[in-house]
Amino acid sequence: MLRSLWIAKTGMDAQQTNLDLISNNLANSSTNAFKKIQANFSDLLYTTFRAGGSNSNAQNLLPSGLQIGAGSAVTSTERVNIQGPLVQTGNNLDVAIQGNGYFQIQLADGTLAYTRNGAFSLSATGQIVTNDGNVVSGAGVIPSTATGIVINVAGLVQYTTQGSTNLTQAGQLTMASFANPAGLQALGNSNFVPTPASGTAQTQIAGTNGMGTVNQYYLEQSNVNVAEEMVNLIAAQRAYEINTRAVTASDQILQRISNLGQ
Amino acid sequence: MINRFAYTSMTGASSATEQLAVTSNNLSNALTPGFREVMNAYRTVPINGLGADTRAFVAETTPGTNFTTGQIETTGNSYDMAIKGDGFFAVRKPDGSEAYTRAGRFYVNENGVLQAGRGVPVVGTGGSITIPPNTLVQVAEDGAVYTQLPGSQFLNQAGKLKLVNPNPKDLVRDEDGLFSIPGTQAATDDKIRVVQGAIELSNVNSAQAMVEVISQNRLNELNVRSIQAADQNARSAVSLLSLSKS
Repeated sequence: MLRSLWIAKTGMDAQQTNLDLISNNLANSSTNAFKKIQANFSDLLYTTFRAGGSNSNAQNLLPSGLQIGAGSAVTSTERVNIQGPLVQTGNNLDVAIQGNGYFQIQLADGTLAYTRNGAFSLSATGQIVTNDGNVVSGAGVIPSTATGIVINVAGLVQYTTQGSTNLTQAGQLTMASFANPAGLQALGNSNFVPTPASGTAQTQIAGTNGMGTVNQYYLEQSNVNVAEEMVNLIAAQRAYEINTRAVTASDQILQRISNLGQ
Repeated sequence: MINRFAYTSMTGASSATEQLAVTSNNLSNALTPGFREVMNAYRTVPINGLGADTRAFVAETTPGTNFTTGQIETTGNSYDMAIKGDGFFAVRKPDGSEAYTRAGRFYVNENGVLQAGRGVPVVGTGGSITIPPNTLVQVAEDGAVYTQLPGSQFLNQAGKLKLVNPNPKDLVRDEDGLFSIPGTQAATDDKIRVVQGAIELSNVNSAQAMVEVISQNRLNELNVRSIQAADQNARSAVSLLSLSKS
């Protein structure tokens, strides 16, 4: 069939995926610590039907060849790990990372996962847990007699008890970094697990070796820029539309050719 | 027998559809960063017979690439880089050869090596460029890549992007869409300037490409009409002959 029909279809497919990603970004524009996802487009393989400079007959050389590309595709999706803005919440179990790194958490099945969403709370047993109930690694246990919780920039978790001015240490939040954070696999609920592309987790103390600092009473907001996503949405929708025009033109040509035989 | 002009028209109709394929490829890459438009043209193929040269067939060709600069969009992503004016980034293909691209959407792999799309490493003036973990990346205008640990005042140079400015006539578009110079490499050009946190978009002009689609569609239509005319002539001739028989 007509080559242009399939080529325009790849353009529609790529823009459809782009629209899906933009919609997901927009839907998460108020999700804590959400990192926007961008589509990486690239052109597909080119086929050389006639190479320029090849022989057209015994005497003549072709002045230029014919090379037709197969269209475009979304070759990868990538999380853009730009720092989201921090907002003050006043909640003593809200912590935000300013800079690189992730909090290490333990999922229900025991595997380790990583998150930047620091909207923590206390479980019935006094453990610091994420908002989906996963235990935050290294945080220790806060006894029910504690009157205040202090988390410092290095992630040290301390608490006070009634009648005492001394801080008692409960634990220290485990922070991890990756060679390529964009290669982490998202599990949903703001949780990530390492992949061969991200490299293994390197646990470090917050504020050292380039790790970010921990800020109590703050939450990191989504880094989605709504205005930018709206412009991307318009561009993607129009790009989709003009590819449908190329499909229409191909369809008309096919129709004409099929009518020829009548 | 159908008149031979039907075959001439057929080459017109079929090369219009081939050209539509080239334009569709441009349109489908209207949002591919750094994509360079494929130019197309029709070429005459005269029929050199023993008799007089009466007819010329037409064939579609892609004589080259439109290397005009695309629009530059600011993204704020520190691994996005765009070249101001002419020039190319150099990347290393899996077979070890060097290729060139305008697409500056880079990232690091699990070992911290700076890569371009499709996992090809970016070529620096001193080999590939490795970014240490947890560092901030700063790219100077001349392509020098510096890394800085947050909180530290010291900048370490991780490498320098190899920036080249070959003659566009020498560049060939490879099957993977990257450009290369067959059999040789381009020399580093120190005059090329890079902007960090921005990406160059495709240089496809959607309006122009849409007009091309319309004109290719109509050219195909005209040629198909000619084939129909030839067909009708042949039918008339057949009916004339069948009348004279009876």
